[in-house]
Amino acid sequence: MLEATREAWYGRWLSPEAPLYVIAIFICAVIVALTLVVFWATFVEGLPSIDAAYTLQNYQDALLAPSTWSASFNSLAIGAGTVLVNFFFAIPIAWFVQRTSLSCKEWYITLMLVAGVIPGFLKAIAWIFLLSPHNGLINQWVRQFVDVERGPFSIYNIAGIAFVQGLMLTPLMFFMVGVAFQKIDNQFEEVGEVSGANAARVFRRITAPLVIPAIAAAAIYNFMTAIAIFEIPALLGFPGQIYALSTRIYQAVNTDLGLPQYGIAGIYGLIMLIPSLVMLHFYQKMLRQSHKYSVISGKNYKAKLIDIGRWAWFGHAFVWLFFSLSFVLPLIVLVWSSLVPYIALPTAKSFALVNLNAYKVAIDVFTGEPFLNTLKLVLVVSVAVTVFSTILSWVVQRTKLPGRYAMDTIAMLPHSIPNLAFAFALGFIALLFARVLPLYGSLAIIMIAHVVAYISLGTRMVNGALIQIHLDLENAALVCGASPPRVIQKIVLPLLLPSLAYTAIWVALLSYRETTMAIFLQRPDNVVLSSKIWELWMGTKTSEASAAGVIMVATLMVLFFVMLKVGNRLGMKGPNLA
Amino acid sequence: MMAIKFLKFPISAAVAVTLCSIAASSLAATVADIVAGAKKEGTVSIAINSELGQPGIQRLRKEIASEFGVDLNIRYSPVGSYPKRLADIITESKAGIPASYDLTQFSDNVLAQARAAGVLAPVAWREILLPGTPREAVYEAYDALHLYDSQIGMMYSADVVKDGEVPKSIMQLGERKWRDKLTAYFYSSSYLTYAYVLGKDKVLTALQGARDNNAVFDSYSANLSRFTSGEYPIQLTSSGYMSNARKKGINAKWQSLDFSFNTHHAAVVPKGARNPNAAKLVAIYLAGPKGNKISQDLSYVGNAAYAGHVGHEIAQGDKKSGLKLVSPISDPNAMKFLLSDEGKTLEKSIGSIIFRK
Repeated sequence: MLEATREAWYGRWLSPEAPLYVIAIFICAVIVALTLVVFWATFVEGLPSIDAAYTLQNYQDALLAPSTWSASFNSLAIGAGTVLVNFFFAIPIAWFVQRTSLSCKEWYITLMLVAGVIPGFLKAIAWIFLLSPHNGLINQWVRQFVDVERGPFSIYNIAGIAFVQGLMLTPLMFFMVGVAFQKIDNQFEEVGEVSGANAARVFRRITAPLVIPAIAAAAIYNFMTAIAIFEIPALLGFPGQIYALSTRIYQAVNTDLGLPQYGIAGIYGLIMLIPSLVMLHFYQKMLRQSHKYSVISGKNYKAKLIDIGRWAWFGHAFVWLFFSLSFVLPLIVLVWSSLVPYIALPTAKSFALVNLNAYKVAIDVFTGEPFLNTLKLVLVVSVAVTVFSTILSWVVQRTKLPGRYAMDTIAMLPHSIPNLAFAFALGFIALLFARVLPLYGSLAIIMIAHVVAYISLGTRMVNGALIQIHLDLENAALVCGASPPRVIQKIVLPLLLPSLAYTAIWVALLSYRETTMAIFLQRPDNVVLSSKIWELWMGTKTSEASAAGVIMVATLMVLFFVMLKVGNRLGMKGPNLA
Repeated sequence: MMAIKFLKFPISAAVAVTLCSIAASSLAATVADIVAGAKKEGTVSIAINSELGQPGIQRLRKEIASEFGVDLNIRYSPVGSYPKRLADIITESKAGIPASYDLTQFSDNVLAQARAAGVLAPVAWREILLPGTPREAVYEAYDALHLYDSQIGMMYSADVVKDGEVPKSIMQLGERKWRDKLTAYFYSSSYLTYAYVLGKDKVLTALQGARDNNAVFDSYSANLSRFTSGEYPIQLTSSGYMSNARKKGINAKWQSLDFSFNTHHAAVVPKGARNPNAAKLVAIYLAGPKGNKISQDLSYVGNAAYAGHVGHEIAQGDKKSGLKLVSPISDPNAMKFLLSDEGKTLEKSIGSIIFRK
């Protein structure tokens, strides 16, 4: 009867899925085209151009070099280590905040968002201050008791890189897993308790399996993010002579050996694709079983908080341990380095140099064209990603149209290949059509680059929300005579709205902070804040860059807190991802 | 006959004076043409000296407005990686679109590569130099105008390293006492000059020694942060960064290694620049004495012909010490070596050591 009802509607109306399908195909075509350009460039001799000569030399140089495989191994190790750190912090904190009676939830969610704002390179520098083998503060203290010339600890190794990146990416996993915890109907757990299972067994056999899609999605996404990050392996890897694929890509593009080697950079990017595709395969298998994990259905649904009583102190301590390592410490370093003319440990000599001069330059950075460009960028990118991700996820989750799982895989491609490679591909296509399409050097090209880059995050967030909404709700409405558009408007969208709002916020944050693509595609007309701050940093104006970072964090903290307050009044909770 | 003989001199003198006036007015007209053209253009995009920053550009704009009555909207980006900047110019030129930046800069062998790629606009710089600009500032072979130069050598923290202990030769970088204490730049082409002077085997051995000593190879600016934080007390770097460190209150000193190594950074106008007159005006101002003062004050580098900056002091000190001055762009044989197949192969070997390939 249900199928007949659906067919009746689709017969009477133009199928609402048709235009969505066309848009989804278009988005995927753009992503595939860019990927093909990256692949094409790997066969080009010298700088890519239409009349370039072709060669296999790039493959020979890249694949036969032992350094490529050691960098690949390093990247895998860094990715795995990052995810382990994420598991350690994000899952317990998400459980405490979303499933228990722990207080101060709004503050913790705000701080989680803000922890994501501080640029990664500043977090790395904070840890250099603490654990540099020569003059790190912790090492200096330990050397009072242990007779060694250097160390004994060092941040300049793979574990150090994974630790700092893990702290950096924990907020993302927190949000990915958090709402999955939040939306669990505690009736499932009550059934377990009534049957005689203790709390640990209930968590292991009932609660944890229900959030597995969200955990798996988060782990896959963060692993792929971790192996593509450049600035932390550069800062912490170079002193330890550790190179990852991301640093090799940067070296290939910014080489001093002749002209940039885009072909070799592309090959490194394709190497990164391999583990990502393997994990995507397992993820897709889980997605096909998604109906097992829906927790919002037509039946009465309630998420009751678990009273943790005296264990609240442990919850607060664990959350603040994370914030201290991830946010408080880097913020102290950020503020400190904004007040002194160069990065130095706090000593009597450096305290005497404290001044506010850097803020005069930083305030200039936040006025004028770069600021306006950034506002336009984050608004357009966040809305575009949210809309396109919703369309793609709808086609994948709610239709039986052919190729929908392939579309989901394609949506993840931008996350599997480093941003720099996509930026180069987009720049090249824009140059090719520069005489007919004014894209090259414009703000629009950075917007497109960001939309392509963040489609993968957007689709994970919306997928996760759709997975948790059972089809019963929509089917019941259809059977009662509601049209498909009305079903979407009255039932689906209100349930999706919190996730869509958080998707938009998170994408806006990432777009605001993104530097690699903005720098690569920068021309006089499309300068944005992140690239201005990076220029200050690379131009040895560390105090000015830090001052700009302080202003960025302060304004975002206020903004996020206001948005959360408004969101709570409107009944919005948080995102879910898969 | 005598009358004609006596008349010859005044006639010759008159002709000479007239010719000089015409020449002088042509010279003046050329700069005036550029100023008039810059006024019409009103804006210019430049990718130069990464250390200059917005304060430097604001001062440049004010001074040009005051000197020439032209209020230029100067859109500035740091030049960044020279090879990447050159790659952008080449690809834009091949695509047949105007260059993104009207003015940029290169040094030594990248300048030669740019010239060879045919992407530089020919400019008669010598005709438009401002008063006080040394005529040697023009590199006619490369259509370039010298903006500043810098010395390459060893900066050290005098609070940590004694004057007598600091390395005096690149061969000493592998000495055990410098283990975990040294940072060096990762611009492979810059080591070619050491190879040109000392021989390639020595340089490869020296760099491998530094590598074995856990030297950190990174950009000048990243290494400066490591130096100022006290992590690494000796740094193979460019003299502008020592000036930078001193300005920040660090007790930094200098030692040139093996010879007085001088690199030149010169401005070029890419073919197809949208605002060529404004670009030339900015370039000739920066190359002149007043513009060089801006570079010295705000980015700590300048033309060695002008006194008052650390590169000049170092060059003078090296001369007194008897160190031979080597400047690739001024030595055709050096440039030939840098651009030769042997040089390119050596550069790859250097890159393999630096980047552990």
